[in-house]
Amino acid sequence: MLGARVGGILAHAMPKLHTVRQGECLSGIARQYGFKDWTVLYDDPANAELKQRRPNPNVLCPGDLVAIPDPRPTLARRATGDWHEFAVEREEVRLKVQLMGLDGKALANQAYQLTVDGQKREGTTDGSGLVDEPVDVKTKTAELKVTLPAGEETQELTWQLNIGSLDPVTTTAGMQARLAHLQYYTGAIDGKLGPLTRGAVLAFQQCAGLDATGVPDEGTLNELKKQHDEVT
Amino acid sequence: MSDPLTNALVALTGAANQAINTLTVPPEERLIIIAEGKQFNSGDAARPWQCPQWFRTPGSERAKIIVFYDKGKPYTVGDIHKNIKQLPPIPLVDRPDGTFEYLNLDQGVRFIIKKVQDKLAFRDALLTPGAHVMYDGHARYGRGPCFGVGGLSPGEMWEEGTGNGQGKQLPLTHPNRDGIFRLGSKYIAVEAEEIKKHGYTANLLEAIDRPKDADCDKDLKPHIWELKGRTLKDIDPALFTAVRDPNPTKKWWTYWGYVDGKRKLFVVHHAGWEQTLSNPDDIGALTPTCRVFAHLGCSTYKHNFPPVRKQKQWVREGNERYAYWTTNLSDFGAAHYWLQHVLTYKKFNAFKPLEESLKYAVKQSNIMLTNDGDRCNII
Repeated sequence: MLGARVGGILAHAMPKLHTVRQGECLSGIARQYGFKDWTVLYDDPANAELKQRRPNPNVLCPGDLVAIPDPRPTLARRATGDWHEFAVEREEVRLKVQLMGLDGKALANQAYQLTVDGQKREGTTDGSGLVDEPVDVKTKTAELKVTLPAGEETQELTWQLNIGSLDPVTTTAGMQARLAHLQYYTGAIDGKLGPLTRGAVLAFQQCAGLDATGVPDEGTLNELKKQHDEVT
Repeated sequence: MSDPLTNALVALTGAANQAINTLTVPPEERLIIIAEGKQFNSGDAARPWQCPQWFRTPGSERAKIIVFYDKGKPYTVGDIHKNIKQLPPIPLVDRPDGTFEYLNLDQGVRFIIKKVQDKLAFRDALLTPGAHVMYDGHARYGRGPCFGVGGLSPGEMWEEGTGNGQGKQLPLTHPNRDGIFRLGSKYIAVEAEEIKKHGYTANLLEAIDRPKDADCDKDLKPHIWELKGRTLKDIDPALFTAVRDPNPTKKWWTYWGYVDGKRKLFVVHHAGWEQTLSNPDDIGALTPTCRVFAHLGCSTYKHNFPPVRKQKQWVREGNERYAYWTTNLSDFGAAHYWLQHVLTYKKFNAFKPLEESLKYAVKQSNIMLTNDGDRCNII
């Protein structure tokens, strides 16, 4: 209940607002404020506008405001004079990265090494080249390594993953990051629509069979989101 | 092979959203260094093709560009090289450091293109491991690529390097950024009237010992036994102010030859590729470590292939030391077609030997040059 009786009138308190910082996602914010389920925040009417703007709750933008509702305590009746265990259910979040070769084919069944919070995990991508690992929602970085054949030699590739730092595709920084991941963009993720970014957009449009204008229109961003955010 | 760490910004996937992140393996990066040489003097027209501007437009547009006027009549790219009009545009992207890039996903290669315009940068290019160096500019009758700096004329001393663009300054200081990077034969012959026309200070070969066959440029070899010593007065009195040694009593090696059916007096010049005044800016003083050297000045197969490949012994080794030359007088067409086809080769060849892609560039360039009616091919 957001409110208190003041002088016989129900006065609604303003909800607490959280300003999103780089690297944060809704699952982590929910955890930070004691919610086991991020949907409590996402579905709160006070966040309706955020929900509409950010269809992926794990891709927020620095500066976004998230209304934090008052926590609702869960009532549990137990007898006194005894030990009771309470288990907190936590949503499992996963790190999913699809690895693609330069020839446009997924790196299926590719051995990889993922280092998260100092722990090395070894695994193999699935048939669609997907690395799929559970991670703690508070994890901010990870390192992904693969060794690939490169001509007669091998090429060891290492990605430093900054988790939760991907901005929405509708922002220039989010577009740049996706273009960089797909190898079209080589510049800094600075949110500036400069010549290098426009050139990358143009190259992407050409390869995707879109009108090559260099302008990141809605169709281009939709295609970029599809190629980057969906399993192909 | 280990690549530097690549940063990626990724999102998490939760129960209600299945969005993932896609990471594509980085392409092979290949550096192409275009060395833009001088013609003769600053007033001479530069070679007209422009990188990256021309390449960004369809060939049909490039073909309309006027490259020179003759008797008031404009001549376009398409008038000279009609096949340029069928070339597709290449979206070369400006990079913050002044270079350009082009991602060819068919090849799996990202090309980084850098332009250099002085001799020091050209020397550095030759010494850049993995680089594809292409020279486009005057061949200086086979002496080697020649450069000017900052719009200055290569000066009267470009024979040996001008010593910082200030004209007649000896001894030369090193490194110097203009003049010739020598990679020609020890002696070459140049028409006497060319010395006057192009305004340089000629270093002539005194008629004492007849030059040896092995030291002579291919054009000079057939004339060794016809060489005759002549004084400057006999050659052309105007040369007294255009030669390094104006001694009126000395004789210099000369011969009568023909150019386009006209009889011309040729004078033999010092033009060696080692131990020159330009040293260390000659092929004798350094061994290139670049992967490809395409010398696309005029008739470089005749003038520069023997000194570089045979005498210097800079020869192909595996995927290293590829070299390409021109078979005749060349203009902007050779360099233009060469770059276009290197960039647009369509077969996947990342981290593979360059041979197939270079063979493709040679073949396609030559088909177009021949169809254009150009007598020059790349070899």
